[in-house]
Amino acid sequence: MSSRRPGYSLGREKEKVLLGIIFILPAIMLLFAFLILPIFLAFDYSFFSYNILMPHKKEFIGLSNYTDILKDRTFWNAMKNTFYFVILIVPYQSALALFLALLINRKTKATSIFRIGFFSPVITSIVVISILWTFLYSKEGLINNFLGFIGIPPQAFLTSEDQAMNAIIFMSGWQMSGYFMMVFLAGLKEIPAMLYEASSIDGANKIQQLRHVTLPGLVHVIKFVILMTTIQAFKLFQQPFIMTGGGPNGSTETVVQLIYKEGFQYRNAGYSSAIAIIFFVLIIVISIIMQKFLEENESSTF
Amino acid sequence: MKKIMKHLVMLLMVTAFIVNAVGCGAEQPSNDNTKETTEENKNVVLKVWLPSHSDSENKALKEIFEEFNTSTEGRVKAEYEFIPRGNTFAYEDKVSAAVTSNSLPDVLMMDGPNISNYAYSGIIQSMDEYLSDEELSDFVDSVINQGTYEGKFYALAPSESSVALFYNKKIIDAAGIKPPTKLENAWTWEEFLEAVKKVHKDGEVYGLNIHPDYGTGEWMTYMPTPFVWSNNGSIISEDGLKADGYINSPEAVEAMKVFQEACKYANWQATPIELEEGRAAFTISGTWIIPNWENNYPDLEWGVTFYPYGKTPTSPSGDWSWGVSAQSSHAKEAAEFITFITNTKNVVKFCQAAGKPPARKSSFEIMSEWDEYPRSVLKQQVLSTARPRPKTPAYPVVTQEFASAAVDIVLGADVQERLNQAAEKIDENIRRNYK
Repeated sequence: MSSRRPGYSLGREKEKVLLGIIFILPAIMLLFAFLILPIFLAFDYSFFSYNILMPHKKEFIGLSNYTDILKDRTFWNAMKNTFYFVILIVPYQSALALFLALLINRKTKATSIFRIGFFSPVITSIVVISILWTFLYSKEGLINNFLGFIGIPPQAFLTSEDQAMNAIIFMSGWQMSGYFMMVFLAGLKEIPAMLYEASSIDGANKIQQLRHVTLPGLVHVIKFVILMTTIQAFKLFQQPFIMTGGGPNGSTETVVQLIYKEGFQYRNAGYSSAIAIIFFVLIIVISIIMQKFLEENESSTF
Repeated sequence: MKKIMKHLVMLLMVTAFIVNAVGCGAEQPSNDNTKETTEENKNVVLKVWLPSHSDSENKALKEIFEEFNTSTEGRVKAEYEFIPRGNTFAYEDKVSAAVTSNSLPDVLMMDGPNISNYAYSGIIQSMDEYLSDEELSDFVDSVINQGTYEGKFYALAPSESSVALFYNKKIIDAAGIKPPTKLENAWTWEEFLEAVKKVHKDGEVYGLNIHPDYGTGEWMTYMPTPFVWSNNGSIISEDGLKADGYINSPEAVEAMKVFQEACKYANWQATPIELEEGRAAFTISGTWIIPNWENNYPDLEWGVTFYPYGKTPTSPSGDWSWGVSAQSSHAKEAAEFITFITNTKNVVKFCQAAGKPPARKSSFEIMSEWDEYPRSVLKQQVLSTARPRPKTPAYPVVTQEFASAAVDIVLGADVQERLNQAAEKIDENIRRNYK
């Protein structure tokens, strides 16, 4: 911006910079007020014993919140549940999205109907979906009725410790895969048709085409999808909050839910902020590792 | 450069999501200017917050508020705001946020068990100065008990609530069971379990239905605690600062085992309506089910009997109460407002709209429907066996931990183990925050 080219007067250049600043100012202010400032505040709170109903009793306690968290079984349980969710949902949801994209990547009249069908859960509020699936999963719900037809006894989907998280994973994957299906579809359109022509002339069948043409062509999209799914999966909150309340026996309580519970229901802003900071650092580290890992594999995959 | 940008973008993405998750707000300076001007004008504006109730209740409340405004024209004006609550703690969250930003209203409604918590935190002020003993003596004991913290009176409830054992009369009659209608004949746990087992037919009729909320609201504390109390147990120490040895005491464990046993005959799903459809015999439910059934299931033949007990008959109680915020500089006018909306006439009006039992004895005298069965059962409970939830500064923690333990117990958790866990969690929280 400092380089002066002939034909542009200094005043004009300055004007442009000023205009640019004015344009981004609202966004910067919003980012600052709702993103950057809260992060610093949360960092600050995390060293205090701070009950939000008693601001006058706010007291500096150093690292006590952090040491307490590391000893807190609820926290480790929530970590376990969150990682379990992430590890299962990333491959499941990405694969499902890719599968759906491949299925409807043809130009027929039915395609757009399917596309709308698969995409509609994405634009439906997750709250609505969670409530609907609570009914579907219930003891006398649709799914159990269906299982009854094929001779399987009713399952306690949301009320059994072993099944609740899996039931939530199944639903969440179904809900969000439509979104990433669209991303994959865009990626598929980018693959030149001539590659398919060439490979079919070389005698490749459909499966070989998928393996050697489609997947390599989608590498960047796949990486993007995996990274986005991972980050989004760590956010898991609404589904267990609505469907199970974190139960049974804490088996679906996630870290974000714990942050909410400690911060708002128990009103311990300090403790809750400390959990958020730990989680924040952890996710940054994981994201960097993932990015590194995906970058290194860039040349070797496929 | 490109790499740095990449990291920056990622950092932003991660930050965005963490902030989403935490969403803490910044403190705002309080605004004290309004105070002076209003005092000069002698026209005091009272800000009032209350959770949004049902349509009929909201309508009755609005009429009462407007009547107050007319009667104090030119002197005091109540500006009320109904706040949506759902079945969660959204209203409480708003109050908490207002404390941080110094923007509490003058008058606010709060759920019964929160009174002690708010009083301890110093966000509401005592109303002793403005309420005479004579005035208070007309309220039922459980309301006075609930509104008192460390010897001072803080908040006044216009209505009471109660939970009892409701039943589908056809099924119960067919089984030849006669549930008691007089308090002295109230069922003990054994008689209760026997009746539930007798009418339960696997796959056809549920013995006992319970509406769960998976521990996300107050219900799973409010509804099952009488099991513990009626066994002469308690879920927290007298001073409200110790759970170990109370919530997991032999009395509590024994009581929750009975509860677990009873729930084996329950359909445990989001909105069970089997009782209404004639496929469930009993349900443990609150007073609010009466207007619901009268309006939506006029043909349903139903009855109600007392909350079953172990050693001492006990029933839950407590309802939304009116209090004055500690930040308010118009405490006198606020108390005047509260006294007006909780006077005998207005309590009757509100309780008729809500279908709730009134909290005033004089209102009970006017509302003769509470003397006739089935409502008489609930009146007897309100007057004789009602017990408010424990008073503890750590109430939000206690209720949440007890409620999720109760849910897990219904779903088959080991009672002793699960209550030990709850005790540990509560005590850990109290150690960190209230000592």
